[in-house]
Amino acid sequence: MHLQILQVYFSDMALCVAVVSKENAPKYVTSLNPEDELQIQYEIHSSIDFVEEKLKTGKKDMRDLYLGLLYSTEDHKIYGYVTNTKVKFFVVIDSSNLLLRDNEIRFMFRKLHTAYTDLMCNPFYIPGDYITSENFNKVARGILTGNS
Amino acid sequence: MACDDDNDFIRGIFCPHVAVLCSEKAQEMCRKNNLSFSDLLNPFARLTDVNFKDTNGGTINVPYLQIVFSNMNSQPLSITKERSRLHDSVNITTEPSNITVKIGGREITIPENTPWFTKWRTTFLQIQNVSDHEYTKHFLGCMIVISSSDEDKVSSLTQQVQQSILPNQNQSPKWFHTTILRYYVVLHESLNPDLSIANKIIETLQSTYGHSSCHLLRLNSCTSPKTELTEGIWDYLNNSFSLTDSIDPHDQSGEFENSLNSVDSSLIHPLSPQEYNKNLDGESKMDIQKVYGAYLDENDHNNIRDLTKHFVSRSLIPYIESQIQSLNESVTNKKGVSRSLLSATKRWFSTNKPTAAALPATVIYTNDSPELQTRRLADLYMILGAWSLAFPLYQAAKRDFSADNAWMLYSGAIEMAAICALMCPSVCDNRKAIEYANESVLTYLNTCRVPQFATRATILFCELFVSREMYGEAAKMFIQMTNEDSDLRSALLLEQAAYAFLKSQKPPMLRKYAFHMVLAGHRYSKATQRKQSLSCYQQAYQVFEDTHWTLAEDHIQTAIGRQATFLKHMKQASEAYSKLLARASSQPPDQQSTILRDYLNIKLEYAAEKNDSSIIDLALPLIDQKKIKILLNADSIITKEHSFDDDLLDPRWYKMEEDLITEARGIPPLIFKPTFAFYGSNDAIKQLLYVNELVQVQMTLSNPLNISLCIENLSLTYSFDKELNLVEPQVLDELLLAPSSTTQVILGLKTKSIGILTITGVQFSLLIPSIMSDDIVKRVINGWQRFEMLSSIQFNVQPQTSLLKVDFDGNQVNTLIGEMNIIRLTLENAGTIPLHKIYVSTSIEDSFFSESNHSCKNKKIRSLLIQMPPNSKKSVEFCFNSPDTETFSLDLLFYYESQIETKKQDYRLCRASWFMTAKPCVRLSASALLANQNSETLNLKTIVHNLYKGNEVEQVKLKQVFLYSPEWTLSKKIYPQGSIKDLDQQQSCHLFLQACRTNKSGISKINFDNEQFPQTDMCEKFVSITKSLSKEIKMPKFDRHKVQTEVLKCIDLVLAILWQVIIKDHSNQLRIICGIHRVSLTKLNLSVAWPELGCLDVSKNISKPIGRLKIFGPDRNIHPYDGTPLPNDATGLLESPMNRLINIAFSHPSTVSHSFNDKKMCIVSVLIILKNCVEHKIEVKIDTNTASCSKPDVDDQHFCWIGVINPKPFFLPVSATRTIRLHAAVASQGCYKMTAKLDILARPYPPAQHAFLSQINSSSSLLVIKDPKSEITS
Repeated sequence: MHLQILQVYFSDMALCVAVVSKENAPKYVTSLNPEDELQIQYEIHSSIDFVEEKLKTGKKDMRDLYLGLLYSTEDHKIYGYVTNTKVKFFVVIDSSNLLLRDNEIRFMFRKLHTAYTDLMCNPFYIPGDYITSENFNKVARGILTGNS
Repeated sequence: MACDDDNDFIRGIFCPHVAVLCSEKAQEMCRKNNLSFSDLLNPFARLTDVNFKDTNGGTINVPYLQIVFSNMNSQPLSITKERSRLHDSVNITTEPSNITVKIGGREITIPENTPWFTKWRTTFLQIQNVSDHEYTKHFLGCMIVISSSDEDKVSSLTQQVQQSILPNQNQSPKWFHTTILRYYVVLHESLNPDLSIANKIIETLQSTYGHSSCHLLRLNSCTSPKTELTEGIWDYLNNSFSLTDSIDPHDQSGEFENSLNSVDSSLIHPLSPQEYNKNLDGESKMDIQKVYGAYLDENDHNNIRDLTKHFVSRSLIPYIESQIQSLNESVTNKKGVSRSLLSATKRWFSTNKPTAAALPATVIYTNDSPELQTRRLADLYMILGAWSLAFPLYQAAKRDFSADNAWMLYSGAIEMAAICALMCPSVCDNRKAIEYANESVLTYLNTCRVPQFATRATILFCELFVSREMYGEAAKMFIQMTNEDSDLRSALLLEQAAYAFLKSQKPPMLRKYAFHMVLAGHRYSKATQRKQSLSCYQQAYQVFEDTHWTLAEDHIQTAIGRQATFLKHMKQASEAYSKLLARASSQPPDQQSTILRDYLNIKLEYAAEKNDSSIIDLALPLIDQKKIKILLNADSIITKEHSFDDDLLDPRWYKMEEDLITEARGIPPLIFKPTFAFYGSNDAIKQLLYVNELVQVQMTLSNPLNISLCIENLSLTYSFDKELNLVEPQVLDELLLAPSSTTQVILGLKTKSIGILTITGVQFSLLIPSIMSDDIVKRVINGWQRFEMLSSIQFNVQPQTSLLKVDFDGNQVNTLIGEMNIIRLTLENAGTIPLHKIYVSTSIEDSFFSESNHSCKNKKIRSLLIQMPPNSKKSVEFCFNSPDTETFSLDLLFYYESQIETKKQDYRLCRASWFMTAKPCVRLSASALLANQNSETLNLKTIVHNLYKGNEVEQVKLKQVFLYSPEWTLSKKIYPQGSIKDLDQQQSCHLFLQACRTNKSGISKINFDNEQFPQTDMCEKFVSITKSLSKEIKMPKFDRHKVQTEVLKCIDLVLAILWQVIIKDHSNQLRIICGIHRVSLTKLNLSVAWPELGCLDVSKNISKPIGRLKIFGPDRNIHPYDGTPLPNDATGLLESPMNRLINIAFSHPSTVSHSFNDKKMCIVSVLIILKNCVEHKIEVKIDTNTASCSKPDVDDQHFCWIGVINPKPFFLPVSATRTIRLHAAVASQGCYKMTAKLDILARPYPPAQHAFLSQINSSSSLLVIKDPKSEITS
């Protein structure tokens, strides 16, 4: 029983990971099921509204980049994270996935942020380009599949 | 959308309902006006300032009271009909005007209001069934209407009425209370002056039922029907469908006769023919714009108004007051008395919440149970608009119902409580109202599963929320009600939710708006409301446009395209698809091919619609309008593959053109405007266009899709003021554009007549991708694309003139350095007028034409003195030698003039340009040395090196050697003698040649083998032009020591070597390449190489490590004259011809044996032979005391000159030799350099400007002194 839960847990961490630029254009989107992607992209796009709302109203702690749950639909829950340069990260998880708690989501974002910072340090990456870095992709896929 | 008068909206729903029962005659009277009696009354049933008495006797003012009259026996609609009504209600004919809102830097155009939603809402509320759980829609009373012509039937009618309106709980009509308010109306035709009958009837009724419940109404005052509607009173009938049935003549449900068996008539099967007929009639009627109230005039209106006023004040209000009184009594009396102990305890101890699994109600309420009476009382207050009185009653009822698990009643009560709270904010705070609202909707939806009531609640609450600017709550509630039950409802509500997001002030949720618009669009399309769907998608696209969310953008555009296609908005559809196709996208290929197919089909359909099926404006393939180039005369560029190369616009061509004009006319042009090889589509075109000359247009076609595009029959389109068939366009039969690729296409056309030509665009046939891969039938669409800039230019086509056509043949682009290239050019005058004055400018000076080589002032210009009549041909050979650069361009610019006298000197041009490469193969280096003794011979030290690296060339064969000089000729002596071997790769060969002085200038040559080389002429020509090419050796500044030129020109010769290699092509074909390497020798003893030593070894230069940093000391060379530092490699430059005035030779024994034991000093006599090498008298001075030798490399401590060591300066005449004897004294054995302590200086005589300069000694003469005895000892 325990094993089963673990398997579920590890096989399906997140449904989608996305990076959205300062100008709110998508810079990187990867999702577990390509057939859901359109729906998820619509939802992420809508979530930008919440991010902007949160940024506008001002967070309690400006040092905390994690925005928490932004949007919850029938199928998905969307969590957000915004860097100091206003680059947004989104993680979409299944609504029925009750195993992921806030801490785990925070951890995902931290990993994503580290990978993004590494990417920015790469002199061959032109900031603003669509992200095609293999390393970043690996980290993002790792978050999706849970084996990172 | 929000109604401004939301209170009116709510009041219009919660208002007293009164039933109407008409006799047949009365009905007929009304029908004259196309109205039923209830329709007649409704517009006049709005009363203001009505007062009623509360239970305490206090007066409560109702500022606004509307009473709704409806036919007593109107039946609820069948479900299918209901659905079609709702569906139809969304179709509105008038489009709302659009407004633009600016949010977050984006302008969004949205409709000002949403009439389709308002109409749907009205319809929905109208057709809703009357339910038992609430009393707001139950009839309070009944208005019985009889006509004055019913005189004889009055008593029977009234009796029937008494029976028919008996309250019956389970059937419609539903009555508010068992005691029903009755009100009698007698209708009378105004035009019938006989009022006696009417009066009689009314008197009878008044005597029976009392004055307050009877009224006489006179109607139809107009004699003739009004044809046009003047008042807007009846407009509401046009806006709703609900009343069509009641006017239906077949459905006389309002009549007494039918009313008795109305139950039967309602049992007719919906699919029975009768029902079908009804529908048909209903539909046919709807088409005619009906005129309502045609016989009613102002007087009648006032009469009706009086009637309603009388009814309300005399009958309805007293009835309501009594109801309130009695209900209040029963509520207060029974309050506190619990029906059962069980429910009482439950009320205290459990927090009942509705759950999805509805518990069965514990209590079945009787009709007059106190809970229902409470509800009734509350509803009475509600319909009178007394929200604050109703609210506590609803709350109480809610608590009771909740305790008894009566969820339907519970949600009804809580719904009403929430409405009261929202309408009258003083009763409780907003948060609680919202809570109530949510609770009621959820209970309706989940526990009771009555979506229509949930929908009603949603509509009501959202209206209230929106009007109170609680957009977030409104949106949430709208979205909550969207489910799988009804697509139309979901779509409408999602759309409203989207607007709520947009209106939300903190901050506006633009993206959520867009998202919900997309969802609404989707649901609309599922509900087959295409127009709404399209509008939704279009609104959503405004947000997604240019945000790079391509997946979403693609989806929206596809949806727009599809919906527009269904609606036959072909233009819109094709625009949507164009947007979809005209950019790179991540859609999979099969998806794109579907989109493309759809797009092309739409285009075809659109064209068919416009009856213009010939050519269709297509968006694909993309043409880069900025990159369209036009070449007016295709023959003006010889190298066709480079015709549109930007290199042809390089400024060097302008220089060449200017030089040519200068050469041809003798004087430079006053105003020079360069001729462009071709034009971009934006340029102002100055060149003229002539008949029969090919015009070419280059365009860039790109295919952004992930599927390939097949294009056939590509050709230019044009307009011509003469007959169109006088223009001949070229047709490109087939073109395949690979997925996401760009291709350049050149298309041409020729005109056959003078006229005005405009090139408008390009036409083509695009193959429509077939669904099946093995579809045999090819479907094509004839497409067209416009050239935006080009199509505005009008070309005036001129009559034919002279035209030089040049063909070339035999040019190898990849050459070896020094290769002799021959291009055979065929010149043809393809025009009608003779041409002459052909001048050619070339980029390579080392070149000539085989024909008439008339020398020109400008080194780069060759003239061809030929005249060409029309249609004559002439072939010439252009020869050039590949220069020592890896890549070079060979440009030829032909200049010619027509042989026709025109005032303006017109010339035409013709260009050729090749990009060529040259690989190193052979290096020739040579130096000239004067033979020691003999001034009449010159030794030529020659090295030939095979530089080639690669597989193609194996051996370099040396063929001939040439010497070109005015004074020297090659003697037949050659070392090593015999045949020269072929040079393998990286081999070099040292040759020693000898030249003799001669008087006749010319070329002398030696063949290495016996073969006679066929192109000797050409070689000689190359040799002879060498001198003019030789680079002026840049002299260091000798300002203080000016050199006379004749002194310098001691030798002047060109040494050339002819070589041959055999190259294997990629196709293994052998190619014989002949090349000639030439060096020009102007100085003695100086080695000259070609290609120069440094110039090829680029790699070596790079790999050379950077030398150590030198900061101190004269470690670098300083110019001896002006002290400026010199680059390290430039020591050679120090040598000037002035250092080579005389030839110096030493003569002494090479080895001397001397026993130093016997004699301490060894004296050796040394002869110095000096020879004048220049054609000038020279003054010579010998200095032995010099310490100028900077490097004491040899032991010179024990060596000195003795004897006459500083002879006087002496003169050396031309070609004279002089020998001077000196003695060297040596003190120990060793090796000595005789030149070490000796400086020979010379200067030309007369010495006017010259100082003595030390002469360079080419040989270092070594003397070895041996001591045989010491050798033994050691």
